[in-house]
Amino acid sequence: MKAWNPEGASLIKRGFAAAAVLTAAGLMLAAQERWHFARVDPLIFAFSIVLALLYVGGPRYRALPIPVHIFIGCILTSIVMFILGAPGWMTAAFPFVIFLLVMRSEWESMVHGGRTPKSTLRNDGEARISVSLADTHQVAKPATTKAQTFLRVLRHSLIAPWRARAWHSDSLQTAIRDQVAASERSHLGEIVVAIETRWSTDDIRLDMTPAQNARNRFSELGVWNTEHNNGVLIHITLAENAIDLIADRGIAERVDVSAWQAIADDLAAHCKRGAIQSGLLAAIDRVGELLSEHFPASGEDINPDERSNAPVLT
Amino acid sequence: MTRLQRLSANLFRAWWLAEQQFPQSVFDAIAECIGELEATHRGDVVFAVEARLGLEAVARGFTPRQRAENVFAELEVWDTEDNAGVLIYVLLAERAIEIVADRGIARRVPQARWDAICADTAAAFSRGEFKTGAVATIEAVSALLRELMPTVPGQRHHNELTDRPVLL
Repeated sequence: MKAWNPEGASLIKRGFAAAAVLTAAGLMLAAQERWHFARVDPLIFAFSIVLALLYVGGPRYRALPIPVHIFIGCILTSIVMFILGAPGWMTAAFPFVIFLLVMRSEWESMVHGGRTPKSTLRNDGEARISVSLADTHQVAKPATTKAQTFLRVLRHSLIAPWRARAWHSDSLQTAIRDQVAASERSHLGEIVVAIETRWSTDDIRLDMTPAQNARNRFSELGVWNTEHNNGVLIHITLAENAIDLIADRGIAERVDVSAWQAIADDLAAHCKRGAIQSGLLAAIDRVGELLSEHFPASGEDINPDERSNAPVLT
Repeated sequence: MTRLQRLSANLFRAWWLAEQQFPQSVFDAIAECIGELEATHRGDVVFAVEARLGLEAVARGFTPRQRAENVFAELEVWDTEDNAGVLIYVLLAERAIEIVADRGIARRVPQARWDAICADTAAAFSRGEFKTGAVATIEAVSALLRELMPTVPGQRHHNELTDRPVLL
């Protein structure tokens, strides 16, 4: 077995060496008959002495991996508790609790080698074109306090699902799919519509803005995965009242930001009036017009339909 | 590997392995190597290490290849001007090495060359030479990129992605 790195193990070793010393002290007390010597089985006695000597004394045993240390430490702890005359359930439960506590602090180094893994939150936030709708009802600013996060969780889990029914209707989905399919016959781009009801609590705790979240969806849905880098994601977050348009670099470098802003504002105005379907269809149409202006389908150049046309509902 | 073997590998193997096989010093060496070599071509190399996959994903039949493609999206390796991002993904528990290249580079390189790079890396890793193996892989991928898309003189190449290896 490979030797363990000494720095990482030293803290745990020290902790359990203390348990071993405690055992030795208990044994000495027991030997002087100040404690309940009669209760201690001679076999357990011998076993604990051997274990403690091996553990504290032998250098080979110090090189054991951490789970072995934890196991030995737990046995020593339960022996100490047994000698101290603790109730049976406590003798059984206490080492387990210590085990969990040690493992909790050990977890990071066990899974990731002690280094913090990359978070899914990207700070740069350099979405190429991202227009968020700032004036619908209340667009959440990045929450900073725990209370704000809590309120955000409530809003995401209570209000958003209640509002989602209008957006999840079959007729709307069919209409969007047909519109996207019709639009993609006239150009080489890809349009993806994603309607997100709420974020998971873990995502909320990452403290993202809707634009950052939309960019993550852009990655996950593979809208980037097009031949001419001309995918456009229309992303709607119901819980945040946010509309985000994200265009890949192929189309973004040819179209002015104000054009995207106009599309997003128009969609927002429609949604405020309750005309969700007509607003979405108009937005798809206008994005399609931009795409067919810069990436027209011509003759044998037929759009290979790289992304699904149906809206993505989550 | 059968699904049962994959499950047991992801459950039992690779505890603490990231620290043993890819300690901070190896990460530093890889970062330095990527940083140096990216000055010679227009591509972007990202190195990612993962200890294990989630058990429920493995039970669902989620392969290291699919995971590597997800990581490609998640780390935004696609986000380069010439579509020339290359992800080298190492899954320690299953001892899997996956190379995912963006379309700008993938369509110009035959599969056999990627296979050769992967085989060399696997051989070095199985000898326990993680540092030299990783650096040699990055050198091989960079040689490929230099051959296909060298830097244009006078035009400064913008380093779009991180040089530092990513621990997932």
